[in-house]
Amino acid sequence: MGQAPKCFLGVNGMKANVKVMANFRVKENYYLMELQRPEVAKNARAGQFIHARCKDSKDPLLRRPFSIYSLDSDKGRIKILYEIKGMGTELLSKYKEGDFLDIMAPLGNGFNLEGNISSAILVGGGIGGAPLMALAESLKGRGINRIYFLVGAQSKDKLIPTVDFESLGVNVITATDDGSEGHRGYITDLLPMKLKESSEGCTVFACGPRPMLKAVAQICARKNIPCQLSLEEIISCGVGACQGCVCKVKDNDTETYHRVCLEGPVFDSGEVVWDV
Amino acid sequence: MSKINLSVDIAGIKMQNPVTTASGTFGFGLDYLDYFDVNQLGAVVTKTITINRRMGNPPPRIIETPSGLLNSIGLANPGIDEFIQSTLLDLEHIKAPIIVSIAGDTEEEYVELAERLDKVDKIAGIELNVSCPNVRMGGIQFGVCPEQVNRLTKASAAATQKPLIVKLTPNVTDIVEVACAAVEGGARSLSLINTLLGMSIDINKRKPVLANNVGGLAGPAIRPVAVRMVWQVAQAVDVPIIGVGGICDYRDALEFIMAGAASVGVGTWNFVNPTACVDIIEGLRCFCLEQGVKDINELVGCSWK
Repeated sequence: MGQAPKCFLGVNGMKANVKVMANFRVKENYYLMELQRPEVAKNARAGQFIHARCKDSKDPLLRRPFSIYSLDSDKGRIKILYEIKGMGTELLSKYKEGDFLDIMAPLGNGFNLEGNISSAILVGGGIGGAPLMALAESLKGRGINRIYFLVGAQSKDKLIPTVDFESLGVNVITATDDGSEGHRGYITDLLPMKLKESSEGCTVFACGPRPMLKAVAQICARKNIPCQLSLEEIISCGVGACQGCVCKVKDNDTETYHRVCLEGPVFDSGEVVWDV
Repeated sequence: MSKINLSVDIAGIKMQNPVTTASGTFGFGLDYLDYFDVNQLGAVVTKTITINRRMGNPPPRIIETPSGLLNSIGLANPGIDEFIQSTLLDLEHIKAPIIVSIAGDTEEEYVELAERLDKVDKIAGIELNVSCPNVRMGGIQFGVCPEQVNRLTKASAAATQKPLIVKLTPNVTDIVEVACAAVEGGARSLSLINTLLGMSIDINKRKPVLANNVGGLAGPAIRPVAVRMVWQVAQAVDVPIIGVGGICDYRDALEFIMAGAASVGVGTWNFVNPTACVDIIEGLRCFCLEQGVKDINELVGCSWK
């Protein structure tokens, strides 16, 4: 009777205290942390996230989700790029090399790289650019070399560092709301032009604030370009139990809520319902 | 170590230890299979089931507060048909007793749910959720009124042979009055507490954070309130109590046990530490060993007995 459990019974299979190999400020409020976790480095996909307990405390209470910025299966290491925004990230920035961090990982679905992708346009807003680095690595690993990274922020100091993208050979195009770097205006202003230049097999991947994702989804829908979005939400349990992190999606003809932590964080742009 | 008895009997439900999962924090017991063997639990209490499938409330549904989690999920669940036809099959692999939480918009719905679950062998007990603060109908509107709780419990108890547990809300003036009304109505166990009604406002948007405006506060922040209520209720009723509210470790669990709870439910802390329940079971065992306690039942209510 019944189906087999969706996962075999493991003990602490995905929760571990992992060693911090590096943790430093890259620019302004952006920090990079490197963790030794071969099981995750080997098996995780771009777009998945780690759920970190920034302090052994009751306040802050919950874990904090961080999308994977880079995967190095040879060294068995993963990187996260994070922005100090509140209590959790402030505490995370205090970790020193050799400290141990309690993480659950890898969580979420990750980007879908099946199908015919010949080139990719990545659109990142603020810290939303972080998972797109791991994605760029994956795409490169699959021999997809034409990758554009359209990255936006309010101002120059809020743009995520792009040196790793450039080292990988990704074409980086920037926009800032105040014009302090690159195009003055939204990064999504530049998307239609890039799509015009693109050819068959171009796929758009985006992560950032909801208004940006909505704009990306609408532009891609008009041009009939496949588009995947990684959504940001406050995540509590990270495993689908609490149903706290939902977003509204179309499921056949009906609308329903899917959990960003489990069915997401990556959604096909056509699925997402934008009424909230 | 094997000589220490951790097993408890909650209204005929034999639990190998007192540790259960608080409803709504553990799904249907399948979300944590990667983290530990759920068969180590005293019992699994499921997410609340309703007659029809419920999408739940619009997001944002959760916000963290000091040592707490404010939530307004809105009883999102697949509904009784899918639960029985599909979810239950997945639960075949769980050998720990399964207690199913139910809620209705009307008394008739509670009765129908109890009747349908009564026929399912796999289910060890039924928990009446009369205390959800996040739905317009049912839930807390029943739970704040002793007469309603009494009537609802009587009607549900008549519909099932299974042990009936009533989950109480703390959002009342006198929880003892409601507890007594539930027991008089046929509750064979009480679970307390559900969440405390709370609110948080986004000062930049000048609006409530939660789409539902208000939500239920859970987590360590509410533990002293829960311990106090268990202490009061345990002295007033003679049915076993499942103590719930902000339990994080075995020390917290012991507070509830010593206040009078025979069993404890771990809720929000599962989200922080997915192995919390098994850590607590082990902690209880070690405490008993160190303190020379041969049977955990000796500690139930010891703070006032």
